[in-house]
Amino acid sequence: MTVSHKTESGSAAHEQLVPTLCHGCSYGGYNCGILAHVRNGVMRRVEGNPDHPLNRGRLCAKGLAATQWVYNPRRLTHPLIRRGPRGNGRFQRISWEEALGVLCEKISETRDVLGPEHILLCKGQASSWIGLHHMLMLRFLHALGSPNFTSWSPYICYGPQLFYHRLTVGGPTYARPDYDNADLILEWFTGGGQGGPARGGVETLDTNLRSVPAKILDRLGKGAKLVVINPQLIPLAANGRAHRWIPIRPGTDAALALAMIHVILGKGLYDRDFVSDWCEGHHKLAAHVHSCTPEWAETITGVPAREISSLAEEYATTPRAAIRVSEAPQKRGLQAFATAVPMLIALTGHLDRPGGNVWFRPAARLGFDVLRERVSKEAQEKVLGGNTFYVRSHGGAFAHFPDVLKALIHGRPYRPRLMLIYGSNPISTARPTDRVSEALSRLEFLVQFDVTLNSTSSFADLVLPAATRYECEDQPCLWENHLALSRQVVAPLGDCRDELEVTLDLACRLGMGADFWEGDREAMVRDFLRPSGVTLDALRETGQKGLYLTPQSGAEQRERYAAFFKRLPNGRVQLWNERLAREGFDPLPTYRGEPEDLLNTPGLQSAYPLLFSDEHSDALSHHSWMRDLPWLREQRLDPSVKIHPDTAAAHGLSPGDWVEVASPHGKMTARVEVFEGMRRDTVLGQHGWGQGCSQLGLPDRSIFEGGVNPNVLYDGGLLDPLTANSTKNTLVRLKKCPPPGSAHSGESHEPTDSGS
Amino acid sequence: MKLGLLVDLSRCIGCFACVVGCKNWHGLPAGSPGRVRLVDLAVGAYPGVRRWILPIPCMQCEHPPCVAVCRFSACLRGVDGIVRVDSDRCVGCALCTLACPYGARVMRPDTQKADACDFCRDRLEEGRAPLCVEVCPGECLIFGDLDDPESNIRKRIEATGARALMRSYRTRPRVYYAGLERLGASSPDAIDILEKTITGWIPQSSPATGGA
Repeated sequence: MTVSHKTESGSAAHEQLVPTLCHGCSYGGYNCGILAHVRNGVMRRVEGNPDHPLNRGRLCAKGLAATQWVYNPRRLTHPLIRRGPRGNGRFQRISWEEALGVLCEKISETRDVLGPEHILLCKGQASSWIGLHHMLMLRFLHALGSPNFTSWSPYICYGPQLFYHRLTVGGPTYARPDYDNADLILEWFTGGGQGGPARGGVETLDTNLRSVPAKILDRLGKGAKLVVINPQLIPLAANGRAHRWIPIRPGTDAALALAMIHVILGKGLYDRDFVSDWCEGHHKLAAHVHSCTPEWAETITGVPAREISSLAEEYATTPRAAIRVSEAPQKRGLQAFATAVPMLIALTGHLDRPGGNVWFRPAARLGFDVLRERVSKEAQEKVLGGNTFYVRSHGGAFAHFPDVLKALIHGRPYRPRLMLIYGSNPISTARPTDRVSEALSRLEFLVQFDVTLNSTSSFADLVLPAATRYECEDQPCLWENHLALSRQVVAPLGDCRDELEVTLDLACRLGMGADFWEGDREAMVRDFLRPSGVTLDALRETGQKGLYLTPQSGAEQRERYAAFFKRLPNGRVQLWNERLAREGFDPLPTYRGEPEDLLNTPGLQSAYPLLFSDEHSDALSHHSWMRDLPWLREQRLDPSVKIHPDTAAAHGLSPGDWVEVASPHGKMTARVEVFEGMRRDTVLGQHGWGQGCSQLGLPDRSIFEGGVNPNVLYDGGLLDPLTANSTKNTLVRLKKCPPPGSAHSGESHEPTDSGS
Repeated sequence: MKLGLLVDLSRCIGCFACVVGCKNWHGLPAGSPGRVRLVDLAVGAYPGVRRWILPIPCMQCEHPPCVAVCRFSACLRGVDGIVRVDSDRCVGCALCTLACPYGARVMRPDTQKADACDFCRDRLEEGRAPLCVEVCPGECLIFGDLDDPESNIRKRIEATGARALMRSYRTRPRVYYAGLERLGASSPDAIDILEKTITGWIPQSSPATGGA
C-alpha cells in the first residue's frame, strides 16, 4: 500500500495528533517523542513532541521519515512460509493460524523431544534492550526452559566495551560524558551525533544512537573545546567547531590511549589523591606503559608525537573534561582500548565528577520477572559457551557467540534445532558473513519477525510480519525519571501484528498461559509498569507530556565511589586487573593491533596498501534499517567508500565511480566518495547496505562475497579472546570496476504468492 | 512585519533533518530534490582542511528573479513578502529554476511543476514556525520578524554580524547566515568556493553523493 501525500492544501487542523514515541532507533525503547498527524486512519506526517524532554520538539531525519517507514512498499503484510530450498527466496503466503500452528508444533516438538536448550532466541537492537520486548522475550525463552538467549549485538556492539569498562572502574553502567558541565569534550571515533541527532544530549546505553548535538553545541557556545579523534572530519567537527581534529589510523586507538597514559603518569599529571585512595596497580601500570611513548604511538597511529603529548596534557589539566567513545569500537584488540579509556578517566580525576564522565541513576526500573528459575539446572548447564569467563560473568544469562556458531556448524556439543529472531538481521550485521549464514542454514527451523524482508529472511522457514511501533498499542517507557507512553497511531497494515501480542499468543498456545497473563497484553503492560508506582490509566491521561517520577535520592550526587566500586576487587579501580589475571587474561592493557594492520602484517602492505574500516551508523540509516526509504536514500543512493582525493587520483578514480575493494579475506563493491577530510591511507565504508529502493529504481544488491557488505572483508576468526569481539579493520586495495549487476541470492526478495 | 530566517552555522551539524523533515511535512514524492538542500564543502588541504556544512533553502528574496522571469504569474511574492508558487498557474516551463541563482527552485517529479520553500505557509497561518526550524536537532535555525528590533532573530543578526549569501546578485534575501566570517577566514577563496558551489548546483532528481 502506498499512500499519496497530497496534503499540501490540507491544513493540519483536519488532522488528529497522536503523541507517541519514535520507531527510529528501536521499537521497544524510550525514544524521542513524536506527534503523529493522522487523517482518515492514515499517518500523514510527523513532527517532534515539544513536551518530550529528550528531544523537545526536535527530530532527526530517520524519525522524520516515519510515514515512509510505515507505508514502505517493502513492508511484510502477511506471514510467509518458505517453499523450496533455503536461500532461493521463494515464499508462500499463509494465514496466522497456519503459521502459529506450524511454529507451536516445531517449538513443542523441539522442547519435548530434543530438550529446551535446542531453542535459541535472537533479539536485535531493533526491539531494544531492557524494555518490555526484551523482558517478554526472555520470559518466553525461559518459560520454554531454554538458557540459550542468542543475540549478536552483545558481541559486536556495546556489550563488550561495557564489560571491560565495568571490570576496570565498576559502576552500574558506562560512565557517560557530562556534557552539560564539560569544558573539553573528546569525541573518540563516534559519529558525532549522527546516530539520532535529535536526542537532546541524553546518553543512554547506546551512546551513538542517543546522541547529543544540542548539548554539545550549547556547551561549545559557552566556550568549551571539542576534540575529534577520527580518521575522517565528521560533521560535528565542521563549521569551525573542532578545536583539534586528530585523524588517527583506524583500529589504533588503544595505542593513542596508552601513550596518553604514559605522558600523564610520566609528567605527574594524574590525580594523586584519587589514585592513592581509590586505585589499585598504579605502579604496575606505570611500568607497563613505560615503553608506550608518544613516539612509539606515532608510528602506529599516524598521529604526531607532540600532538599526542599535548592532547594528554590538555585532557589531564582541564578539570572538567569528558570523553565519549564510539559504543562499538569492534576490535580484536578491544581489551587494551576498552580498559585504557576508563583508566584515563580515572587517573586524571575525571570519574564521576562534574564535567567528566559520570554515572546517572534512573528513578525506577520497569519490568517483571523473566522466570530464570524455569530453566532447569540440567538445561542451564547446556548454555552454549557457559564455561567462558564472559558468560559466567553475566551469570550464564546468554549463549556465547563463537560457541553458537560452533554448535550450529559442527554440532558440538550439540546442534540447536530452532531459532526465533526478533528484529535482527544477523546475516548483514554479524561476522563472519559466511560462517553466520552457514550456521543459520544448519537450523532445522528458523522463524523471523520483522517489518520487511531482509538479508536473513532467505534463510528463514517462516517470516512473520511485525507491526511497527506506530501500529502497536500502549507501551510505557522510562528514561531517568520520565515516563512516556508509546501509543498506537494507526491500525496495523495488512495482517501485521504486534510482536508482543504474538508472543503472548504463542505462549498460550503452548500451554503456558498462566505465566503469560492468559494472553492479556494490557495485564502484562500493567505489571511491567508496576515498579514505577504509576498506573497505566494515569499514564494515559498525561497526553503528550508524560509523567515525571521523583528522582532517586542522591541521583545528582557525585563521587559516589564506595557505592560504584563495591563490586571491584578491594573496592578499587583496577589499573592492574586482578580478576583478569585470575582468569588467565592479560591484567594490563597491551596494544596488540588488529589481524591485518601496519604492525602485524607489514608484508601485506605491497598487495593491500590501504587501511579499511566502516562507520557504525549515520544520520540516514540505522544499521541495515531504513536504507530503503526514499527521503533518506535520496541523500546517498548507493553504498559508498570515502577516500582522500589524492588516493582517488593515485587509483584513477573519480567521484561516483564504482570500485572493487579487496582485502585478504574478500571483496566488495561500492561507489567512490571523495573527501578532503580523510586520511590518505584510509578507506571508510558503511555496513548495512543491500536493500534496493523501488521508488528510486534502485535494485537489491548481494551482501555476500563481491557484494556491498564490508563484513566480508574482515578476519572473522581472530577475536578478542575474552568477549569474542571481532575486528572491523583490515587492509585493502582498490580497483575501478563496472557497476555491479542487481541482486543475486542473499538480499531480500519480493514474496511470491505462488500458493494462494 | 518582514519574516526572515537566520542560519547559525556554529550549530548546523549537517544531519539532514531539515531536508527530510520538509519532505515529510509537505508530502513530497520520492525523487523530489526537495525545498532545502545541504551544501557540504571542504576548504583547504588535509590535514588543515576545514569542513563547512550549510542548509540552502529558498532565500525569500525581496527582488526575486523567479518572480521576474515567470511569464504566467505562477511565481509570486505575496503581500506578506513570502515568495511562493501558485501551482494552478504554473505550466512547468522551469524558467524559474534557471533564474534562481541559489538553485532553490526545483521541479516536482510528480506534477512537473515548480516547487519551493514558502516558510511553511500552512504553519504560519496557525502561528507556528516553519517545520525545519522546529525540528532542527542542532537548533541552528531562527525564524522571526526582521522588522521587530526586539525579535530574537534581529538581535542575533546584529550580535553575530550575520549576512546573506551572494549579495552581489542584489536579490535582497531574507535568509541570513551567521558565521560566514569564520568560513571566510578559513581560506582566502573560501567564500568564492562556497558561492560557486551554490550556483553550480544543478537541480536534479537524484542528488549527487555528498562529500566535498
